[in-house]
Amino acid sequence: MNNRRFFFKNSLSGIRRLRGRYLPLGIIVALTIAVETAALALTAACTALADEKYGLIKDMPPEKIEAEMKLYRQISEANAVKQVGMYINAGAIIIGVISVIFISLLMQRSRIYEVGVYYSIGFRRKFITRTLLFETFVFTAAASLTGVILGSAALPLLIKSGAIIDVSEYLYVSKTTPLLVLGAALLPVLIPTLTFSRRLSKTDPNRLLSGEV
Amino acid sequence: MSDIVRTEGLTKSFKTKYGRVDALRGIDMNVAEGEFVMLLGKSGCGKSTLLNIIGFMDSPDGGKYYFDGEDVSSLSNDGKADYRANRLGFVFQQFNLIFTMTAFENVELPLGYAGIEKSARRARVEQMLRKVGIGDRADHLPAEMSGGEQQRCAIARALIMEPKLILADEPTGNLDEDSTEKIMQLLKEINAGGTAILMVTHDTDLTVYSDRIIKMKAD
Repeated sequence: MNNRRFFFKNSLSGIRRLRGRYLPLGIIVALTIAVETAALALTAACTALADEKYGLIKDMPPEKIEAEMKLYRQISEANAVKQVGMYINAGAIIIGVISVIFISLLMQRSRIYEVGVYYSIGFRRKFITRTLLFETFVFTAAASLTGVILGSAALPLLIKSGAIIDVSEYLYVSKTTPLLVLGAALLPVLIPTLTFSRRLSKTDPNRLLSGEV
Repeated sequence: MSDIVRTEGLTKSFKTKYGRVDALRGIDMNVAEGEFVMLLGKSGCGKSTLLNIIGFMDSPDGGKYYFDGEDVSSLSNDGKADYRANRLGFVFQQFNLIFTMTAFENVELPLGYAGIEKSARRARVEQMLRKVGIGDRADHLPAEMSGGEQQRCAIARALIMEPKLILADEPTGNLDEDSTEKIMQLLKEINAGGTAILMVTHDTDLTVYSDRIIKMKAD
């Protein structure tokens, strides 16, 4: 790489210049991650609640049948919410991944001409590929972080509104959740970006400039 | 005077759905240091193909290409990119500026890539923009400039690395008469400063600005 400082400056300036084009991708990533974060936390809390209630039933004397029935109802409710949470999570992942791949490809396509200009003034192919990947990485990571914050804030509000079972005692922030969701967001963004920029790097610069790709 | 560009028996063909088409067949030509050469010919005669090979945007199928005395016929992609970045400037008919960057940022790009310090970059870009006559347009986006000003900006970008050769592919093709004359005067001034220019055109009126004409014919 010719100049590391220029690489970072150029990439960050790319995000600033193209924020309008990046915005749809950012919104989809942030919303998907918010839903995933909330759904993951909800299913984990429901599992913890059900496990605890099962433990109580095991130690309960046989004459306390009513209390036992109440616990079973709570377990059943927790399991139902957990199942819904899992469906929402799966749905968010499927819709999110498809949308993110689609928008990433559209966004990269809109930059064919710019890539052609970079080639024509002598930027090396690897430099351009790295710039595109870095820009996408920074933007997706920022959108994912926003999504984690949104999702973490939305779940307690949802519980407070009474729309779902009260699992607030069982909510905890797992250290691995942000990493998991970041990975889940980055893969569908970076893979099409990498594939596309590699394809561009093998294309005649004149065809890039005329948009014939 | 030594040659900045020399080709010997350069060939290039393209595959099409109708078969193989020869774009260049055994081209021998040269451009001396500081010379202004015009490449004339009708559409489809291979002018732009030749210019693309000389400008390291494409590779020849056969023959030899010497740039500043070095054999550059079979450079790697990175090698070609380095030549484009440091040894020559390209001016296109469509200007090829980045729309989301100001005139200043467009001209600054090659300097940043070359790792030149910010203060030196600023001074050189400002000086270059003044030289091409758009010093007051530094903060304007291409869309906010006229065609002639955009072409001046493209010329400034091509000149900023102080190359020995400028390649111009129909640089006045999208301009009106007045802007054409101004751009040609600017190219002539640049040439008078010692930079060789190889310009592709089909406009015979422009040949008055050149030192020599190379005519290409299509079979």
